[in-house]
Amino acid sequence: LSGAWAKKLNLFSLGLRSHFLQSAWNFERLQNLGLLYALAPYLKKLYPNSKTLAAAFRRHLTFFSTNPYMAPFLLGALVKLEEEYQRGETGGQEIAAFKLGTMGPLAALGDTLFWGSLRPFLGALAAALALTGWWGAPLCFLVLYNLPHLFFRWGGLLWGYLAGASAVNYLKEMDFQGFITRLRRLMPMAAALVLALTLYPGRESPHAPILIVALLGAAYAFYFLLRRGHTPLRIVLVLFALGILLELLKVRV
Amino acid sequence: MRPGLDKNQPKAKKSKRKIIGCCLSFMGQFFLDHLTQIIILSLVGGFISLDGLAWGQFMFGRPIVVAPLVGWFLGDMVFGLTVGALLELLSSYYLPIGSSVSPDFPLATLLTTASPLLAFQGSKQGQFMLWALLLSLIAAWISMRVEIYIRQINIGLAHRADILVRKNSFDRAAGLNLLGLGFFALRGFLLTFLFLIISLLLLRELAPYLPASLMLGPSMVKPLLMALGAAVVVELSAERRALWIFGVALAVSLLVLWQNWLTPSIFLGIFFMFSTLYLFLPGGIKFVRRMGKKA
Repeated sequence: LSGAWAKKLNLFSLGLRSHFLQSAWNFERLQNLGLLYALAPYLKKLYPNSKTLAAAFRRHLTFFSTNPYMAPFLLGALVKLEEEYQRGETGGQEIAAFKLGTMGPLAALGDTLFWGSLRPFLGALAAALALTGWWGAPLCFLVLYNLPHLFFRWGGLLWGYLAGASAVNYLKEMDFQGFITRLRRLMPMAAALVLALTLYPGRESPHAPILIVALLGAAYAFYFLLRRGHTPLRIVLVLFALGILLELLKVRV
Repeated sequence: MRPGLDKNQPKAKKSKRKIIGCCLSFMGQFFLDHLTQIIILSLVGGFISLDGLAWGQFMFGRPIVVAPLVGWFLGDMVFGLTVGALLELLSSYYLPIGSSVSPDFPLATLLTTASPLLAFQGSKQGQFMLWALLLSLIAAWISMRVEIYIRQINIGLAHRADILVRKNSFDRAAGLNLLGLGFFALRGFLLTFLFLIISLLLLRELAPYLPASLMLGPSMVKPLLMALGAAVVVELSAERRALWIFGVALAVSLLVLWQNWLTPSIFLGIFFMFSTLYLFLPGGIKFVRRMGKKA
């Protein structure tokens, strides 16, 4: 294989291995083993000398924690920096400093975008679809979620590799905050759709208006309970007991 | 002890043994009949346990995916869709940020869907859904404790990697990562197998003896659980005007659906198109303006 193709193949292997970033997640150094596993083939090709290879391995066995979808971005940049280090253009401390300085902001961005916004929004949307009884709801969720996921994984890897240490500057230019804000405004709308579709089968019932008011009141009450730090599981247990109590008292809803 | 009782005791013991024996053979036959399904579901449990943390995060383990899949496999997809919708909303509350570990919702979803469907063969699964959910939540909590334990074991792997690098054994050091993968897969498979059998046993054997209040009571609160799920999503949005947006959107949705202006599917389609435009249009306009300036 020519040099360019070999490089592309190495990057592809790096991308595949990035899926295993959290395989040996541990409480001490979090994703360090996953990072080493992803970088290992690249490092072995870069440093034929076992002494320099051991130093590179040690560099990447330190604490590492970021969002798994944003990690390839960092992996690409790290590979680029390692290449520069091998040519003597940068130092080992600079690589460590870049890693430490970048993983935190990337984790914050990835967690807010994927865990805190996109997944709950698409989950609520898919739940609303599921309530209509359509079998395609899970498929829709998987496709809509994994399109940006895979775009960030593979695009990030390439982008990180091409831009190296300056990759972070490009990220700053993107309007992620605006996108997240808009996504978060859509979340209550999706939740409202779920509740409306829960009530939909009973629309012909004479008790429908009472049920609407009761569920709306319950949703607001639960919202305030959640804001006060009560977990959904605790509320589920209370509701469970409440159901049994109502049935014992012969109160039918 | 009275002599009369002495004579009766072996008979009582024998009859008890007979009943237990009958039960065991009946359950044994039941498990043998469904062993293939239980093993396939346990393998699915192992796979979704991997997808949750250790490999990929493609979200195959989300309740909205697992429950309909299991429902389809066991012959009642609509039940799976209902369970999936409910648990998807409830599980949204738990975010895998930093070193936080949350209850194992993929496992809870699999058990909540599979155990009533397997236990009652598609006749009373709706009635027992919430009982299955309760049992599954206990399993999810235990699974969370096991995950914490695995993450502690993995610290040993990190230390071992340090030693191997010192010995210039680079391939083995990097390969230790895959050992962690094995731990997570094993956790998913074994816990699914174990808790599936436990919840099947409890649901099948105890259900006939439960009083009506215990059986029907929890089913009454199902709509309230959906309201709780909706509240979780609203709370998670952390938007200042979330309650207002929620209230107005609910009023509009009820009006449109109640008046039969649109069917639920078309209404959802319109909402999806609106969301796409709302999300991407401002960014698109900015991009076009930037390109215009550059030109």
